[in-house]
Amino acid sequence: MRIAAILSTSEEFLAAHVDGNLRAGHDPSSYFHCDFLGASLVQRSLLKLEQAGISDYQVIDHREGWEEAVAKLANAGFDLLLFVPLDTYTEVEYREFVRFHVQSGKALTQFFAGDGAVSGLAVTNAEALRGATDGASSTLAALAADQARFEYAGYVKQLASPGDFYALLQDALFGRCALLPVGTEIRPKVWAGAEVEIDESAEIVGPVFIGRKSCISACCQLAPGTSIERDCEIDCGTTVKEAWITEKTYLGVSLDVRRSIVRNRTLFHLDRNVEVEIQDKNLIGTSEPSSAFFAGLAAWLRPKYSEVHNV
Amino acid sequence: MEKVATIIVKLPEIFGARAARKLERELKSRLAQANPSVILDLSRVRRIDSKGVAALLHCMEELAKHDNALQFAGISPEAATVLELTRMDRLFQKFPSFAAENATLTLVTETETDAVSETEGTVIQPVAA
Repeated sequence: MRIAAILSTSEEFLAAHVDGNLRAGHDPSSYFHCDFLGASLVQRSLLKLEQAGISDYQVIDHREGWEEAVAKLANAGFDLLLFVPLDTYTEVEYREFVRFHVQSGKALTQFFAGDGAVSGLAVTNAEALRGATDGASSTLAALAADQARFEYAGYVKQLASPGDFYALLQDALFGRCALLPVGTEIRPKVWAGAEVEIDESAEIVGPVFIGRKSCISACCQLAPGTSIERDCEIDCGTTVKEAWITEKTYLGVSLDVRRSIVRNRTLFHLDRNVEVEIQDKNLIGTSEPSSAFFAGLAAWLRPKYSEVHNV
Repeated sequence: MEKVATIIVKLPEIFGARAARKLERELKSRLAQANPSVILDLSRVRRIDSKGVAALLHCMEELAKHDNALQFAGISPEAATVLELTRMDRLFQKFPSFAAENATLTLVTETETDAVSETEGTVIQPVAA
């Protein structure tokens, strides 16, 4: 059986954010491609599809070209189309979901969890969409009248706001869901990616994640519920508590970052529900490749210099 | 220097280098005339950079020399976030918001006209000491 998956944000998500006042830095739709405990939610979804034997997929941001993509896949000889909303994290086994659909004998199966349907998560027979003159959305709406219901009792998280992403991060770090950090558990509840540098004076209390090639400088404090993604630099004396620091972020000296998401030189404070753009790169910036280059150069020169010096 | 006044300064939306210089200049001239307490109203502030933060510290130092303290009121969420980020929130006494008409000095950008009115003897009671 040939199955293709279409990953996109749901219509409800787009409707909720069409007039959003968040800048690009913290528009929730931009988070789907950010590293999230070491791998983006899109990457994690694709891996899960692959594990279910689904290797044909299309990722559509903002639903632009969604109708065309669905029509194209429906006419490309696939038997089933699996619709995966990026704005919902779920731990359902897609193989089980598809098996249920096939056994139901219906043209459409909708995913239900808790109080109701999870918007955008469904599987349908591709045949039902072939030659649909009214468009895929209208055809799916018509099929919904006689749909099968897949009731799911596992973990589901709607991702509509920065706070939702942070809540998922907390659930993952504290083991309340099956989402795992990509890294090695270097000490209890502290996960780190490859080539992480942690100064010995830094104080880290898990659960904490530190992404690959990130640097935690002297006297930093990382408190529970913190994720520092890859290629970040946390400068001396800075405290990070209950925060998600997205990839390639530089945090300056002696800062106090708490209950926040930091991305693209902007800080979103979860309690105040406010986004603050930090223009001073000494406070919050991007960890420039040039500085990484010079750091690498310094690391390369150091032993050489020592050898010469010792001689 | 004998009569104690309270100056309430309403900071502009963008508290950067220019506004910081203006605040320091204004306070310096007023400190030469009297020995006032200073309350900064940050309710309008949407952006503070490190120059602004440095100016707040400098003002605090200047007032401390006169045995007075710099206090904040009506802190906007944006200002509160930057003050927390830079750990400045621990240095100042804070009040909840108060009526804007209490402001005795409104700090505006240099292209605008200052609306300054002196109200000596204005006393704002701290709500949380």
